[in-house]
Amino acid sequence: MGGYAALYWAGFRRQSRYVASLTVGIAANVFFGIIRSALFVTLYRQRDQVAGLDITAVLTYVWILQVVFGVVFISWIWEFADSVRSGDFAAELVRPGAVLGRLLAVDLGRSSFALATRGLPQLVVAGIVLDLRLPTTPPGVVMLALSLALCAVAASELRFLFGSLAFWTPDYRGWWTMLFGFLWFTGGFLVPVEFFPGALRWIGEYGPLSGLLAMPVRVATGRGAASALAVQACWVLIAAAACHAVMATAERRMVIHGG
Amino acid sequence: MGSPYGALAGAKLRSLASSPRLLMLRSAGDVVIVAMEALAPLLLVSRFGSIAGWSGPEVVMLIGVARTGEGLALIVGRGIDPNTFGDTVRLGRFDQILTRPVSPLLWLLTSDVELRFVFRAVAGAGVVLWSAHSLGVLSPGTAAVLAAAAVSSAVFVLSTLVIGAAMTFRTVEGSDFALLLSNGGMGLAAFPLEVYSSALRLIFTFLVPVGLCVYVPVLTVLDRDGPGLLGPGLLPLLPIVLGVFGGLSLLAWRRGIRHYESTGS
Amino acid sequence: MISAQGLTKRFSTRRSELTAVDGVDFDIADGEFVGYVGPNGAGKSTTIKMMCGILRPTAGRIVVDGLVPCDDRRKLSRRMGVVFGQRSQLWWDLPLRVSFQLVRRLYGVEPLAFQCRLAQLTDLLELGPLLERPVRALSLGQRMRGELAAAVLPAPRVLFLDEPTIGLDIEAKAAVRSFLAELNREQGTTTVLTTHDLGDIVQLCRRILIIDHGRVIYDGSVEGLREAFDVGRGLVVDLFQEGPVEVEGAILLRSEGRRHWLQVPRSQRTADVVGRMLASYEVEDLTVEEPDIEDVVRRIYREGGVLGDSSNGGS
Repeated sequence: MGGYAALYWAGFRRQSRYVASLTVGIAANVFFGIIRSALFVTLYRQRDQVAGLDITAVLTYVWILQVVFGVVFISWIWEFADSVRSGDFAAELVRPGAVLGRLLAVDLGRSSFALATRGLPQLVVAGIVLDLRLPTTPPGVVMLALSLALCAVAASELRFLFGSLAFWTPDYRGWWTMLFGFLWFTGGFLVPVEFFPGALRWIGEYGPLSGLLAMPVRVATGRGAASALAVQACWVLIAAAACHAVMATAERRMVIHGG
Repeated sequence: MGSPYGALAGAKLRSLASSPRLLMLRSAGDVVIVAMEALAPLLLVSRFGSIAGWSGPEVVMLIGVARTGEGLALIVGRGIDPNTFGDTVRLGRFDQILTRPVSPLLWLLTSDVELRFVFRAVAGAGVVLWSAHSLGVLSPGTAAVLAAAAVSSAVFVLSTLVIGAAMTFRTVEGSDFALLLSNGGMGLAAFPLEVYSSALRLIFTFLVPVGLCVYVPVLTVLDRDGPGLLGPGLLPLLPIVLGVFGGLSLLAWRRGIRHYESTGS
Repeated sequence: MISAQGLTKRFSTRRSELTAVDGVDFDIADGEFVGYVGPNGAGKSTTIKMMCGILRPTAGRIVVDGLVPCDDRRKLSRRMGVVFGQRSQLWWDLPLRVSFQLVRRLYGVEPLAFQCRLAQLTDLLELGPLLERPVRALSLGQRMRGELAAAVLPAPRVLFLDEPTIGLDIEAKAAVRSFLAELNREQGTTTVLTTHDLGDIVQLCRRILIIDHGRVIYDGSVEGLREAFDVGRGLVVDLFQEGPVEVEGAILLRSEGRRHWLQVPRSQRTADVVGRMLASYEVEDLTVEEPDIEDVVRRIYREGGVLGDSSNGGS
């Protein structure tokens, strides 16, 4: 276990080197947060409540989005896939410990840094400046922290699954671009999933991508926080099983084909 | 194709053609992104009735113009995109460009032509056409204004990228700022400027002229007035303001190269 | 062809200032083949970059073929070829032939002249079987031959080579060297070469410039190095019996059983030292060796600036 903790910290510290790009990253995040906030403030001049959300809930959605954006869509997205393609990844297989655990530890370390420096301070400032619905009780805060942690794990798993395409096709970047638009939309990054029509809304709220944004928003605003966490945990476990299956297949393939 | 730049672009196209499936997938991805983005305001309008008094197709027209322009710009702009250009400088490839008998900027613009963005531009144009058609405003006159708007947006995005590349000569990370300018500007222009505060509106119309490139032409086509100063009457200002913005970006580029010459990478 | 006067380059950051090139003077005539050597960080690459117009001198003046590189960069680039050993100037995904065609377009070489020149280079560098292969599929040695061909396709008057043999195997090095020698001999291309491979210098350069800490510490013929740095001759003696050896006028370098290596400085007459040796010891065998040029340069690298002083003051 100590080994994984060390990898986690290594990942965390590694991200801390990019301070200058962090500043600009925060600036970009805040800018988009302001744009989205302005949009929804304008929209809610016409209505008080839409699809069960009021302006406070939607503004909370906007700033939770800014927090998780830096965790889900991150700059090192290609590193794993590229190392698979270049053959460097083969060296990982002979190191001690579970490959997946190591990858996850480093990746989580890096995204935790993004969360701690880029995401949370923004949320705190936005919470002070704007009227957001954030948890104020200790259990509420713990649940939100747990939800964001589950979001980070889900994002890491997703990155691994996408990256593992590189085991099978040299066009993995193409597939990722191809799927990105759907991910972006169904994850609720363009419009809150509550605004989706019919079955699409159900997929957005309970589907595999719900843990990235929709559920953390529900936990933050306190709408069925416990069940939201359960949905998140469920998908994290399913994705973990998928990661294991993919890794096992890839490993067998690498042994046979020599990488 | 007598110029060396045509040959450079041709070489890049040849290497793109060596992996057609990758190109196809990424192009399809671009189309999906534009389609999803156009879907968003339609969903919002179906829930809220309008966005600051704008109907769904009207907002979609803004998005379409912005994305067409962005797509056009990125076809040639990849080489000066802060992400790629940072590597070019860091790995010493810019040194090599400086030893060639060509303009470094034109080299960068032509040697990294990215075909997939043609599809972003086409998808954007498709979105614009759909909205103009469903609003019943499509005519030769409006088509010309919309085309001019797309080209202006492309010039705007290219100018921000040039500024970003010029900043790369000083700080490799600082150039991300330009990405914020173009991405942020484009994100902002995807919705009617009524949504924003008057300060933000003025900044993004006259200082960072993305509003002038996207919003004002669409106002003209829809024949409606914006808040405050903004309205179709500003359209004649577009070439002037955009010209100044583009000119300043080229000036920044020249200063950047002078700085590079005196410091190395 | 190339003239540098008081050429200086300082890099200043917020915290510190570094003088990479410190008042360098040299003149390189048309058709010369000059080796520009020195330890890492001595200022070699910075000087090359100033000659190519990539960097602007902080002070002093550099003129290449009548042009000031930074101000007339595009004009100069038509007359010069540049090869950076560690980076490729070729188009990675495309066949080598396409890279050559692009170079032709960039430099505006006439099609007929191009065909002629390409045939010549293909022959000289044995590129025939490689022309249709993408650059990424070439070995390092093959790629370097391609780089050289691309650099000289526009028939430059001056050629700058920054470590062109780095990482190459013996065979590839030999191919590169013989090509460069031929080019310089047949077409009179002025060539400036930086390298860490002393074989390049010994085999190619008639003149060598040694730079250290931004200053030129030697400028002259390769043969002249021995004199200038007073390395002296080597003496290897085999004695009949083991034991310590001490001879006036010679420095004992090392001993191994009955064999001893000594050095005789140029200030001493070798014959006198040998005489004293034979008088004091029972010698089984004795050989006098001229110092190897590589040893000389290696010593200069190792001792750096100290030797720079000794060549002036003779300590």
